[in-house]
Amino acid sequence: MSLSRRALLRVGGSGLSATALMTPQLAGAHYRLGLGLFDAPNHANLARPSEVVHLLNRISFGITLEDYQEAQRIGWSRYLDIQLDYLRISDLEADQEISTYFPNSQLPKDLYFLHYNSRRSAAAHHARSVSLFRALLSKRQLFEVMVEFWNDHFNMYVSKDRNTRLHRLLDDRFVLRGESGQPEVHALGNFRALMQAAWKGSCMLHYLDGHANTKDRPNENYARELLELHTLGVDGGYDEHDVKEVARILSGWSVDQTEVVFDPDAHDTAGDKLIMGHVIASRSGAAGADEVTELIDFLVDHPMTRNFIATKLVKRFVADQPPAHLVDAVAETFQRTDGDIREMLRTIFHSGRDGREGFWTSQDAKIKRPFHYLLSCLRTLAAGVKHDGYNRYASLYLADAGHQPHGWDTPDGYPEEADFWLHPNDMRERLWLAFYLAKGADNSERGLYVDYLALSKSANTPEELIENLRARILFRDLDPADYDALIDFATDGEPAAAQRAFGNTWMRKSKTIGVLGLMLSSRYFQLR
Amino acid sequence: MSKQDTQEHRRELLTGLGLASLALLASPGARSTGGAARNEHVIVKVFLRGGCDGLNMVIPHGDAVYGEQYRNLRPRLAIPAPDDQSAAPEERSLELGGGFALHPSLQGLHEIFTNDDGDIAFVHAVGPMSPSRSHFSAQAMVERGWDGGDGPRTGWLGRYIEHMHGGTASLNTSAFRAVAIGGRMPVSLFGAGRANSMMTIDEFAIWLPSALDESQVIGKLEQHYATPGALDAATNDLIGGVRLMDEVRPTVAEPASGLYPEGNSFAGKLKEAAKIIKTGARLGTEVITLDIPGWDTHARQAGTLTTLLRELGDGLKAFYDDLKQAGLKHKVSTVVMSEFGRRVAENGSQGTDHGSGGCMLVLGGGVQGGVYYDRWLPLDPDAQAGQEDSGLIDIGGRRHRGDLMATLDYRDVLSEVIQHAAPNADLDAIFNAQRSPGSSPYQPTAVGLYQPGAAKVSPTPRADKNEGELVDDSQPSEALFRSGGGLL
Repeated sequence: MSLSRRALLRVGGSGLSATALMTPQLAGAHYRLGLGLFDAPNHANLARPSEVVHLLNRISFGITLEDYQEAQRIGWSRYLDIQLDYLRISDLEADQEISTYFPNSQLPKDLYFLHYNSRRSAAAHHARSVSLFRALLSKRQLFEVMVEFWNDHFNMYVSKDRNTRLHRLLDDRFVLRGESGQPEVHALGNFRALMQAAWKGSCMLHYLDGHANTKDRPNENYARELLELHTLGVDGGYDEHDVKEVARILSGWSVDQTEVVFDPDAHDTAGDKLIMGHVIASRSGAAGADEVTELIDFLVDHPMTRNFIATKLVKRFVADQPPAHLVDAVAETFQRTDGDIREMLRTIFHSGRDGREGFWTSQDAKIKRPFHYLLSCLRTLAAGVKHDGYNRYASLYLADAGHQPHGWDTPDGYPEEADFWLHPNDMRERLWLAFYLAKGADNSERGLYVDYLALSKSANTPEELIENLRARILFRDLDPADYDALIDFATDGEPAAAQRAFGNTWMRKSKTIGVLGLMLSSRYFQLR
Repeated sequence: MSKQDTQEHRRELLTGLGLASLALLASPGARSTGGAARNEHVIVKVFLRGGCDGLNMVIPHGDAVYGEQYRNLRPRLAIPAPDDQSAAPEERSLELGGGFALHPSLQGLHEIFTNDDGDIAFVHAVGPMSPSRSHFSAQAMVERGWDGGDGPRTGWLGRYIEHMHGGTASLNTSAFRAVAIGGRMPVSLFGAGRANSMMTIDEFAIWLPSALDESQVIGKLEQHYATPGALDAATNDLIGGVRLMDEVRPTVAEPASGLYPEGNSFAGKLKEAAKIIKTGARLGTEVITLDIPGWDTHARQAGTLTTLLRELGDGLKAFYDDLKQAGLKHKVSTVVMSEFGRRVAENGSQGTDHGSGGCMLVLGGGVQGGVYYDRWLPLDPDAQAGQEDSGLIDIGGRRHRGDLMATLDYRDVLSEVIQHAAPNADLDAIFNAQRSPGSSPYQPTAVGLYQPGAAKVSPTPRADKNEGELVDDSQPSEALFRSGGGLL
């Protein structure tokens, strides 16, 4: 028995009680047992990942060898601080990739409009591509994870119509990626500033029909979702009257080419607006535009909004069933810092070290959603990606898994909870991806390429193979039963042969593919 | 490029384990001798995601007030009446009788209503009694078979699967007792003990590189996924399902070519559903769910609704014909529902905003064709909100932008479909699960979907109609609507 085997036996034993904290007694498939919306899919019997691995599982789209080594070197806390202060991280590789392959996607608004106005499908395609490339290549992984978080929160379906196709990339750039020039308007900035920018995104106004909402022809779609999905939450205490009043406040805004414009003549000024007992005075003329600023401030100040945002963040980063005390703590940070997103995340990532449930007791409590699963495979495997093939290959999986970037058609965004994602067909897609990548993907190097022999360091015995891939792919220990099963697989049922060289090259290759595929399919890699 | 192209080839997964032994292993209950065999009647649930505009699907043009004001309330969205000579014939709605007419895109359903055996019921002014205008709350509510907030986490079809034989356990251990076509597991199926999701029968397979021994790999996956976790259950259902499907697939019959319309993705899904149903006990399916997305028509609704309704109507007609030809129409009940209807008056963007009462369809042999509702109250936008004799409610207490009020509980429709499909089903366990103490339990009220003479409007009976017993009780539209009240 190898050293690593003994080491993991020890770790495996001690991990049990701690993870059990977050584990429902009867963890079953939710569609099966009906355990419902908030139970974790985790497993009490997995040896816990190290601190660094747990953190990287949550703040990135997958662990690369480089990230792992860097985080190991400087420690999780400092690594987190650097990721939160994302502008300190150079992102040349991702920038260069995008300016090489999608140069027009980076144009200033007016030129962007000129280029894409008659190429709207290309604009939609590039919006997806930019998300895929940045998630794969960016060194600012936490920032990218938060861009995805807000893209779910402020969901806009890129293919709704010709306008959303054109504008989707603009809201991504100018609201979430900080191109507005306002310092706190970005995915890791300040929620108040973000909200003030997000509501008047040119794509958002199209997606939720806000551009068509006028005093004579009210359309309350945007008003409802602004309250229900962006700020207060569905149980936020507003009623149908409030929805109508918000629609009045939002009347008169539309989009001219790429500029968001306010038309005082289309703005409803027939009496003051009353939102949840709060009066917002109607203003005539250009001053009518200020009403919505006041509304957003009112909503951001509302305790239900703090609670709603805190709940979503804790669900994303800790567990589908968010511990109430942690939600309260994050909401408190929201209030204390006036919506500083970084500080809310700090509260989350330092939680659970005091004996109560929190981030540091939640190992493996979340499942990777398909986008994360794909990206983590590609990043961990150091897959070779060619720009013209990447999108197509990613779509092979993401389209069937139902998780294309900007592909969710209703305004609530892709669900966070495991029970939406976890079902047999979803597993089928995951297994397809795992073994497709394990066998090298498209070996012709046209689009996607995985060098599985390099990953295994050309291991020559079953034991070496499993140890090399475990260290390189999983970055964590295997439970003894899983280790034994892999040895059984790699030796074709002769564990005594674990230290003997593979009989021939073909056997070595096929066992490498098999072990790699099984590891990518396993709970160790599906959970985060 | 497709995934299949990227594979060398696919081999059958079946190894030593036969299908019967697998099924037995999967369910401890199956080892005992007591229990009910597979229920041969299949419930097919179609969900129109986004809130279908029931008022333009089944148009109450005979409504005392709404009928007259229809063009005022919906100046750009009104569908011409069946006898509107000013409109082109193909734009006119299709007469049902009694002051109701179908959207012209629903030609297929109209044919079932008039030419076939009248096996379709249109249920109007139906929905939860405590409506929500939030898509997400409303869908969660009706998918769980609930009314109001909270309620169980399981879905109504999940509980149906568990309680379809009353207190008797099912001996059906197929991994396909419930099937979601379309790759997702809808909330309505949460709680179903044996459920699977798939895009198509052919795709329901695990693809592995040819370099690998499939049974060995699958065996290792089963070994790994053997703990009580959600990933484990999904993987095990997948593997069990794939093995069973590999056995059954060679016997699956394709429908006659041309039966299902091309380019209609909903029809494509129904075709898979019919193929599954026709395997009978081999796949052992008792529930199938399908979705059509895209009904949230806030802007420029006319074109969207035309397309969606054609997809719906043509698809259902092909499905019905297929089952009828196979002699299975009496073994399948299809129910079509949405999370809410839409507002009576159009909005400023040639669309309609979220409303409450909507429309449901029930299709299948044994259904007494007709239009059903509880009380039909005039859709008078000038009535005071909450006024007794107005069919409009307005949740916000404001006038003029009212909703069609649901006067019929959507669970009454589901209850009847369930009772027809599985007479011993425990409706109490299905619709009163986890009710909080002190709240009043749901008790079904008869709609009469399967009861001759209960429909408010029935198709003109045909001499060769084999259902028999149908009486012509269609009433003059004006009289019915002016009366302002229902008969139930």
